[in-house]
Amino acid sequence: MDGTRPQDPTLILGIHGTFEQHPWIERVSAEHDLDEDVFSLAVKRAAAYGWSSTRFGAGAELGGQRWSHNDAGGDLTPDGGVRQRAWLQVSVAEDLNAQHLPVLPAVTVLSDALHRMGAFRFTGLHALVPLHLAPDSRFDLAGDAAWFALADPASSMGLMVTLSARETSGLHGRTAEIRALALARTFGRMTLERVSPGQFAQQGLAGELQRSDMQEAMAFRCVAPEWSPDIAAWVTEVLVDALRAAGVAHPALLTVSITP
Amino acid sequence: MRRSVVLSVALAGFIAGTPLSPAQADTGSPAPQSVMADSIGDFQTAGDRVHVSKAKTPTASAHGWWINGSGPGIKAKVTIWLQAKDSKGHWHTVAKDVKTVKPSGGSQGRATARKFCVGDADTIWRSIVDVDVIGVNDSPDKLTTPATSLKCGAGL
Repeated sequence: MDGTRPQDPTLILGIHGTFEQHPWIERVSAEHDLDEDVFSLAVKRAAAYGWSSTRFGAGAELGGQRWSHNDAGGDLTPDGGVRQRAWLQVSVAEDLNAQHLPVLPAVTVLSDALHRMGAFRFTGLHALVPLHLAPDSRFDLAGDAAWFALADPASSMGLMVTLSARETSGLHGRTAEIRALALARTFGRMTLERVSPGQFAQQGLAGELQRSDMQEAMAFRCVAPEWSPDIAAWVTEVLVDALRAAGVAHPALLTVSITP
Repeated sequence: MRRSVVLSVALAGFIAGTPLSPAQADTGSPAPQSVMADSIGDFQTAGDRVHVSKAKTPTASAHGWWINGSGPGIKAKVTIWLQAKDSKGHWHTVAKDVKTVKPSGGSQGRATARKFCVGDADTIWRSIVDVDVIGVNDSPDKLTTPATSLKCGAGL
């Protein structure tokens, strides 16, 4: 049980990698009496972008919020290893016409928070996505493809993409169909090679992924124009729209990580 | 933006012997400068929706904290009540937390109420947050977060 309902608006997203805290953080925190953590920085950053607010009260609610904040946290253990360094759980707004699932905004908030505190090297993203809220975003994905085509050809990077869902999702056994839909949405900017689920270790991911009772249904080895939190969010959105087009409305867990 | 001090403004008017009308209080209109004295709290209550936490054991959870504006006060007693609705539509407090904290929202600055889910029955949850700034006049009003349906029973 993970507390989600078939039509639950919950989006949970985590970014993984190595992290080294700035050497001056503790001194500055003491000087300014700060006790910031991933939770508080994610809240502050989302408010700064105007995507979400945790202020309540008459006249205080932010109009057009992309999400309601649920929770956030992180693991800043200074061990040099790959860990799930920051995560965010939100309720996606259900009344905003044609808005994408806020994958890129959520990734941005978390990435900003980590970079505020230290040196973060990104290795993977996982996202539990409420697919029933995903709008048709093909045309925006065409724009994204052009955006990422403006990349240094020497920056192309291999990555792994996996998709997990419950048996009841109707997704199992539809790998070829989902691959074709996803490939069409990359507009030639990424390759997707079908591989067997579990065939490759996902060394870019760590910690709890909210897999719950979901099974890994499909996996792809890909080559993307670059590697960054932005492009991981784009790949996630490509898969989200492919699943939407395939009529999948149950929550799914998507991962994007660097190839071992 | 002064509209962010609705609660404080209401109190300022009360102290001055000229209570604001309900209409004024509801609209959150900018307050006249004359009632924006720093002798009263100029803060806002913050919180998140009740949610099933990411922890391995399913747990209904909610946080509450405060954000200071230009008002005085270094710490506030933040109280959060976690409530669930029973089958008859009555709210019950199933967990509570009280913390005296700075207005950071940081790791030491949040009150957190949690309750392990009792089964996975669809249940309506909400939280109520009260902020009492230490040594500062402020509103007795409490804030209620939006009711949220979760697959998390409360054992009611």
